Amino acid sequence: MSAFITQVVDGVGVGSVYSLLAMAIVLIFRATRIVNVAQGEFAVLSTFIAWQFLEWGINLYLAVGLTILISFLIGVTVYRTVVRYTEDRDHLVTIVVTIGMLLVIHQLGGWLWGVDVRSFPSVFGDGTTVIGGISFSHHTLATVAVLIVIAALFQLFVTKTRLGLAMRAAAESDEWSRLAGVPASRMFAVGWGISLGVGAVAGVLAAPTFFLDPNMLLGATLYAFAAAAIGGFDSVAGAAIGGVIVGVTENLAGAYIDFIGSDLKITIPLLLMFAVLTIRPNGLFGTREVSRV
Amino acid sequence: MNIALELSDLSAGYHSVPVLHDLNMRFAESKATVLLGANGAGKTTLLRAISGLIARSGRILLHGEDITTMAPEKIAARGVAHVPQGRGTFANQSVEDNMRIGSYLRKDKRGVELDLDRWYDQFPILKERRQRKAGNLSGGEQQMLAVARAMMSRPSLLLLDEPSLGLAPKVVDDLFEVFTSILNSTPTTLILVEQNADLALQIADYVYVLEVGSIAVEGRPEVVNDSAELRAAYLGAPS
Repeated sequence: MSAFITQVVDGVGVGSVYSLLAMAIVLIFRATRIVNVAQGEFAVLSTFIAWQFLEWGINLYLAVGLTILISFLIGVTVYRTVVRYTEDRDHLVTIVVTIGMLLVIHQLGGWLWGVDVRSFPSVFGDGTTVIGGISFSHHTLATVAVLIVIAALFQLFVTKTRLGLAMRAAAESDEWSRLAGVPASRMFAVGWGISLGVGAVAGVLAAPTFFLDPNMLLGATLYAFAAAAIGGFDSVAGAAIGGVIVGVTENLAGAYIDFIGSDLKITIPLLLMFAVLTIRPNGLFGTREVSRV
Repeated sequence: MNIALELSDLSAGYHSVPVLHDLNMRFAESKATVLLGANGAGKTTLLRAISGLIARSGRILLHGEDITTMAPEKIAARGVAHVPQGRGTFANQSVEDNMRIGSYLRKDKRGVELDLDRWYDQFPILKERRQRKAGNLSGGEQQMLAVARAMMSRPSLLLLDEPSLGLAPKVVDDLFEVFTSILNSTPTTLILVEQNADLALQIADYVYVLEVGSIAVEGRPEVVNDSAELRAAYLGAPS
């Protein structure tokens, strides 16, 4: 039994990273209706930036704080310099552009920092707490806590603040929001910034267990997309829950279904996504678009 | 008479296909001006050019200030509110949030709350449904919401693009009463694109008839009544 619980806890831990990445994907999708395929690579880039700060001897907490800020600015800049010019085009154009960004950032990481696998310290230390014979790592517990806090803060931000309202309006209609005086383009840039900031958090929290190299989040990004789809693609809470579901299912299937093992477990989240979307095409928490003419 | 909006040699169009050709128009302050014309005459294009949504050349003066090259959000900030054709409400947001988007640019919190009450009083059905998604309202309710949302910005110039389109006659009458009350109780200038010319001409101070992007006729509303041709084209009942 305790082995089972350990598997679940580990699944929640790794799932929280998928959740954070999925939230980052959902944030951009909500703000701009763009599916950012390069989300995981941006998170890896952010983690490399944090790692570089550590190499320069900067305090871990300060390094992480600076990284989140820089990631926000990278998001704003990428939107302003690249993404903005693809918006009037077909969706396929924007997807191809984000695939291009994925490749560029992936190669850039390898070129600047090499392909060695590096260790990265946990912001929350490497202690563990034993409760009822089951050991919980502080890193895992804190990762789950961070996930919940970010999801809750975001929910408050979009529902209770003026900026959140403006972002919702801009997301729904660029043109009509501008007619109401909302600078839609700035809202989209902020959406990208927040998304890459959340991605940076995902990267920094993934790195202690995933280990840092340019491929760190390739698999996780795939899982995050599955998580986002399960959650509903436009629901932040859905993404958070979807990621945990994916993480736990992946871990349990790998541990208890013999023929799956660690080789085939990558297929599990995708099967799960398939099953959920068959029953609920808008995911577990996705909104059905309301439209009436 | 003060001029709220003045267009000089205005040309505009989509992707370098010109729709409007060298228009010269003046819109009197605190009055309603009606734009008539067949489909494709350029009425909607003209409103979109004024609010900055499409490429335009020439000169647009709003209360004497040149807004020709401004972005739509800047033009909105100078007091232009545009109710686009097909409502322009945010279907996935609540009625109340739609109203608050309308007041996005205002800093006077107290005034915003007062206006919210004022427009809820005008349209009690919106107050009743304030928590519902705008997309779940009926067509008439959405049009009321679109007008109320536009008024929440306290515009000096209100552009209305076919507000009566697809609405029941009773609802249209109610809406036009609201337009009359806006004209009487606020300094707002109205530019109204309408198919329903009978009602529009009753509140109008001046009329422009557009034909393929140029002005065919202009004048007091009587010019339409006085011309058999215009009457036949724009007024429902033969008289």
